[in-house]
Amino acid sequence: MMTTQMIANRYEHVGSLNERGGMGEVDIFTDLHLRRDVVIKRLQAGVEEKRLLDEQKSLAKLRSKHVVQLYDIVAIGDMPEAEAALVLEYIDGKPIEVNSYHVGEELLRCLWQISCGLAEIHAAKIIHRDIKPQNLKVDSEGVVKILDFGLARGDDEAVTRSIIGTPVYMAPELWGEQTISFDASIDAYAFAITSLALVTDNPPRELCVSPPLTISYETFRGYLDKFHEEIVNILFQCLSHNPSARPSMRAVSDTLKKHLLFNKHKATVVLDGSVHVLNEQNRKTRLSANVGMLEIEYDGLNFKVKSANGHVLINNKQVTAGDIVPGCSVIAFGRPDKVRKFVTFDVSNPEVMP
Amino acid sequence: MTVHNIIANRYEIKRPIGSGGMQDVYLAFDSVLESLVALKTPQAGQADKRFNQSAIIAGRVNHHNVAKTFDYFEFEEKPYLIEEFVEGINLEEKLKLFGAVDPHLSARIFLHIAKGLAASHHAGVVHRDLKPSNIIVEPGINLHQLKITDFGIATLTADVFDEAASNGGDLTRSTSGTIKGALPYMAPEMMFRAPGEHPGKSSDIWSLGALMFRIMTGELPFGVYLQAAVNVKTKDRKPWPFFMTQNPQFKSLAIRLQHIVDKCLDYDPKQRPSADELVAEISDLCFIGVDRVEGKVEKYITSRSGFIRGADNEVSFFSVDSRYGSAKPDQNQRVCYSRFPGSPRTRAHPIILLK
Repeated sequence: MMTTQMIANRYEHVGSLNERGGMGEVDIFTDLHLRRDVVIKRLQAGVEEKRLLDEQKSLAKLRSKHVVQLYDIVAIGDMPEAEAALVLEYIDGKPIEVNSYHVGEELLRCLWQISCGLAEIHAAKIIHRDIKPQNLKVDSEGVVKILDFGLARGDDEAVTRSIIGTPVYMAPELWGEQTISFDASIDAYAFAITSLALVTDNPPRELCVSPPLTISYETFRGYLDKFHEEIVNILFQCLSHNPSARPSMRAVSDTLKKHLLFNKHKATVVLDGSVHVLNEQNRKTRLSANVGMLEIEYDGLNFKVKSANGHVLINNKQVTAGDIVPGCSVIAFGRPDKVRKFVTFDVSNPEVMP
Repeated sequence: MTVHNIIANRYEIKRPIGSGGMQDVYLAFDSVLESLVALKTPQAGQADKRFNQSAIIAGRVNHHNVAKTFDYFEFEEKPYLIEEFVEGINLEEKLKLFGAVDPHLSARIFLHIAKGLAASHHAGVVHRDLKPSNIIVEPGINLHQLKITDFGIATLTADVFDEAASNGGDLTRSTSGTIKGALPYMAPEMMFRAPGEHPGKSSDIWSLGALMFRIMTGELPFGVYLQAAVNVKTKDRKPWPFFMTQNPQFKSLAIRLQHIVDKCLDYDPKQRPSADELVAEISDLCFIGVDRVEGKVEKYITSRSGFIRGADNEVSFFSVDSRYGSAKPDQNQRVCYSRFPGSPRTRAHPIILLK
């Protein structure tokens, strides 16, 4: 409980938000210098304090848009009992609630943002350790913020002894009796559980026992059925009981991003100065010259060669059915030693942004 | 202020990184967070109270396309503002390298600045001095990470502006360097305002439109300095150059962007789109977002195609049709482009000529 009304002669106590989660209470202060709200979190003095401070400084250097900004580190109380406290950006936003999404683009966008944040964090060699919906928030600009890094306290009620994190989100390897070693893939496991938790408050029983059991792909798929197979598949891999079999969060975010662009690409085909557009509405084109023919079809993710015959080269390469047409290409009809016909083929798409 | 000076027992001055007309800016090391920051302090003669006000305004905006305000304090009776240090240079410097930026890269720049502006407008903060020198861009050729800085600077310049406005009722007669630098991007209602009038969010939209005109064409829509003021008054805007729509590969996106910029440059502030409307419209646009690299035209193999050698030595094939702008690139011309798979060389497209 924080009772201090004024910290560092600058931060004035406004109130407490009783948010659920590892840290319990969140205290809001006003920074009198900049006249804005900040959140102040105390760190327990002890062994963990240095690790947490180091981690917070690394996070501050990372400057991910998905990580809450650290402004200051202050000491609360008098020496020698003084405790370090973090002064953090106050996120004016909405919590991400359990069972609050339908399987669809909004969920995909949310999961993509979380995965981007985790990928950035992991690249900086930091493990979050406590990914769950309660530690996520969407700010007023629609950006997902990941809160409470490594802040799950050892004495949290929900947690015992060597166990960190929050039970259902905890990877199986964390359930040992002794102190265990683990890596960033525990965040991937928690991320996959989070993706389930966002669509149901009744996950498979196997995942809720301690330690968790494996579930079948079909069971998992049942919860996320409307997602593309490739999305379900990579999320399912995150649940592997073999940590090294879990994909990196970068691989996850790349896959999710790819699917956020599903049916949103556009190919601009220029033939003899006139423009043809391929997109969701107009998926197929057949280009032919007297020396060759090429059919291209948009499958929602890629523009693919459906059939080709005669003398047709794409960016000077022979093509066969099934090839993906490169993002920007020149299609040449005719023999290289004869007069050829050239068609430009440029793929563009909206930018995926939070 | 000298290098190695430590301010407020926390910030160590590393080196000066520029000064605007109102404040000096230094790179400093924050020993508490152990990271680099930008330290700003008003130049002698500036009102400290205004500096405080500008810090408070800037501190209300929290978005990744806006440089964050970290700290504000007074030390030995001087005020200091600590801002996120963005590695890179400002867009004004960057544009000296680029002639005209192709519609694909332009769309992305437009989207990022519009996002930052929308976030600040949501927070009730108007920039009032949006121009390329107030936008910081990541190092390199990509122009991806853009951050608007100096929110709140208008608070500092308000006195200068008010004084100029009251002095004959015409800002454009001012001899202030600050005002002259802002004129090419300044909305008419800002330029020709009466004392005490404070144009709102829509004047930022005009500035963004003028900025995008400059990026896509390489030229200012109304010219430089006082010429800009005259041309804004007489509604004498430069036409869109022919090369923007000459190539059918660029044409449809170029026309969409021109249309959006035209709306931003409407003389009636009420007719201009809001930042949210801009974001919505640009978010829908399809563009080629593949990373850019820098290289040099190595040789021509026909009159209209040849090879470009990248700075990393990778050679790409190019066609003259892929270049954006009116000039054909000469041998050894520095260019910026994206690469796509091809045989035996990758293919370069779109190509921008660098200066």
